[in-house]
Amino acid sequence: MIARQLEYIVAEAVIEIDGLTKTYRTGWRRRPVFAVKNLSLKVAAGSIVAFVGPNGAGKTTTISTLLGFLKPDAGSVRLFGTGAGTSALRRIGYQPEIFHTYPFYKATEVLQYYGRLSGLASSALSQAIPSVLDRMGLADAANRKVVTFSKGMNQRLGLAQALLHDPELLILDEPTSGLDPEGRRLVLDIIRDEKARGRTIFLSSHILSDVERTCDEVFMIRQGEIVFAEHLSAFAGQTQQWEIEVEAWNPAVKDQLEPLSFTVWLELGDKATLLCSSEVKRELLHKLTELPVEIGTVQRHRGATLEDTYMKFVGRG
Amino acid sequence: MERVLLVARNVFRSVLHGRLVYLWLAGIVLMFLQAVPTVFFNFGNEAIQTVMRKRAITGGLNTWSTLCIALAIFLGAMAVRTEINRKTIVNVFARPLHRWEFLVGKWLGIQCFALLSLIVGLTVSFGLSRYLGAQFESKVLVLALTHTAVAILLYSGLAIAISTLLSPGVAGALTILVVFLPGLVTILVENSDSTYHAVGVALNYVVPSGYTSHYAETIPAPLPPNAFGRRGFGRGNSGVGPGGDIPPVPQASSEPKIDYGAETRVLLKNAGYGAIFFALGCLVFLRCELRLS
Repeated sequence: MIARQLEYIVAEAVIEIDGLTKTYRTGWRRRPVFAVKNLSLKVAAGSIVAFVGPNGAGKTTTISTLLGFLKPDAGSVRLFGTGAGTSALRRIGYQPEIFHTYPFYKATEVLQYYGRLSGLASSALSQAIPSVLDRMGLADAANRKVVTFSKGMNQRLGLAQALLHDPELLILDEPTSGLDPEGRRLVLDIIRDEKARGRTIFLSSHILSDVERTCDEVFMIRQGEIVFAEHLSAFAGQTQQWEIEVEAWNPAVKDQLEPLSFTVWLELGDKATLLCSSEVKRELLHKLTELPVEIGTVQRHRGATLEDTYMKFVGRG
Repeated sequence: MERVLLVARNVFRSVLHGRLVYLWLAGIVLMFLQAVPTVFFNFGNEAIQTVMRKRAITGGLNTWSTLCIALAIFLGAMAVRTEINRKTIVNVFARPLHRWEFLVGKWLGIQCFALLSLIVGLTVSFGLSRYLGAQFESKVLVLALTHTAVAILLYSGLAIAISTLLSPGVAGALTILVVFLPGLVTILVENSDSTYHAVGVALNYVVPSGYTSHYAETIPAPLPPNAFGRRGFGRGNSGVGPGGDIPPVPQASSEPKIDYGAETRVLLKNAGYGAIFFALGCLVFLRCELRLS
């Protein structure tokens, strides 16, 4: 049920996944269950790409394969043109869905630990840590133990450790989950700031409004397969088509309009909404005035929203 | 190397946070309790009292070193699987850290903590020995401590290696099994049945020599020839042996007889086994997947 694969004309693809397949074996009989099935996608440098799908769709499996936690059964994963290895990981910042860390550390110590593991020198860390904590609104909690942090604070600390070493690629797994509106806005602003700085962002999310507000492209995944891929600019914008509401609609009217190019978008009893192009609109309206019908609203047609598309391709409906 | 040390330091912090240090306090209390009777109770025979005091010190140190090895096994068995179960490993491996670096760091951290624990026990034992007027044989003490250190290295390495694949409980249980296997191997090798013998010989190549405690010899404490009087232990010794007299208890010589060459070979063999087990664990861990959900 692959809708279509986006074809990108890109100078550099930061993430290239080609035909990725990953199965798990479950139960006594070790039956294979597809977590990801022949998944292919490319993420262009400098873009924000959303990976959207329900729980268990294969988002985290894909991210785990990107980070080298899992090995593909088939297909390949490439980051910055190389395999998922330590050289690629140097250039990646990863925020897990829930940031699990050591409870005995203070916020500053957590960042020191991860920063040094990322290869940052102590002198660089002494500048970077206060800055990133301030950016995340955690400056006041710098010397508090992380075990005392609220869920939202923990989530922001998770993003802080991902940003600490100024990575070229950010992989964010549900970055706004568990955040209050203020925290959510802060995180979305940071994501947009990072894009403005030329960073590439690959994020998975359930919150479609966040995706609409921040992302350039969206990949929808269902049962391990990409079912839809599109640029966000295609959604919810006004199209070149027009909607014309008609009352006293009947098949005879339709027959008389037949030579013109239009579609019946909605038909409820004797009411119908017709869709036509700008070129046909004038002629269609002229014809309708000659017929025994009432013309209602005439307006530009709005395309399907991201949510509509999600429900169509991913949702149960 | 810096990343290895970071992981090792993290292990250290984690152990301190886990309040395992309270084990030190418990151990110290145990050592003092072991020494209390020899300090406060009068046995009526100064020679025996001296021997008992010396043995209380070496016995305490022996118990302490065994606890250190057990601690190393416990921490080794918990090392990897706990991080996976708590998902703290995600943020570590999302960084340019090799898996072997992580394991070496864990191993190093565990050894440092176990050895520090050993030093604490040794310090307490030195204090006790001063107080009770006993003196350690430095050469034997070094050998005994080296045996403990190598056992910590061997068994923590093995526990970490197993914990890369199996749960902490299974890793700990299998490691403890290996601790007791040398005795079984000896029995099998000496068995007259050819099958058992063959199994014993085969196991002999796989199973390390195991841990030998030399703490009892660190403060030579032989019973003096006339410790129990000419007629032996007890008042009058009337009911013991035909005619009431018992022969003097055969005494160990004051100079412990230790073949240092053989001991060195055993130590090297154990360290080698530890390194091999650990390297195998690293190889397994490099190849295995991290399934977190």
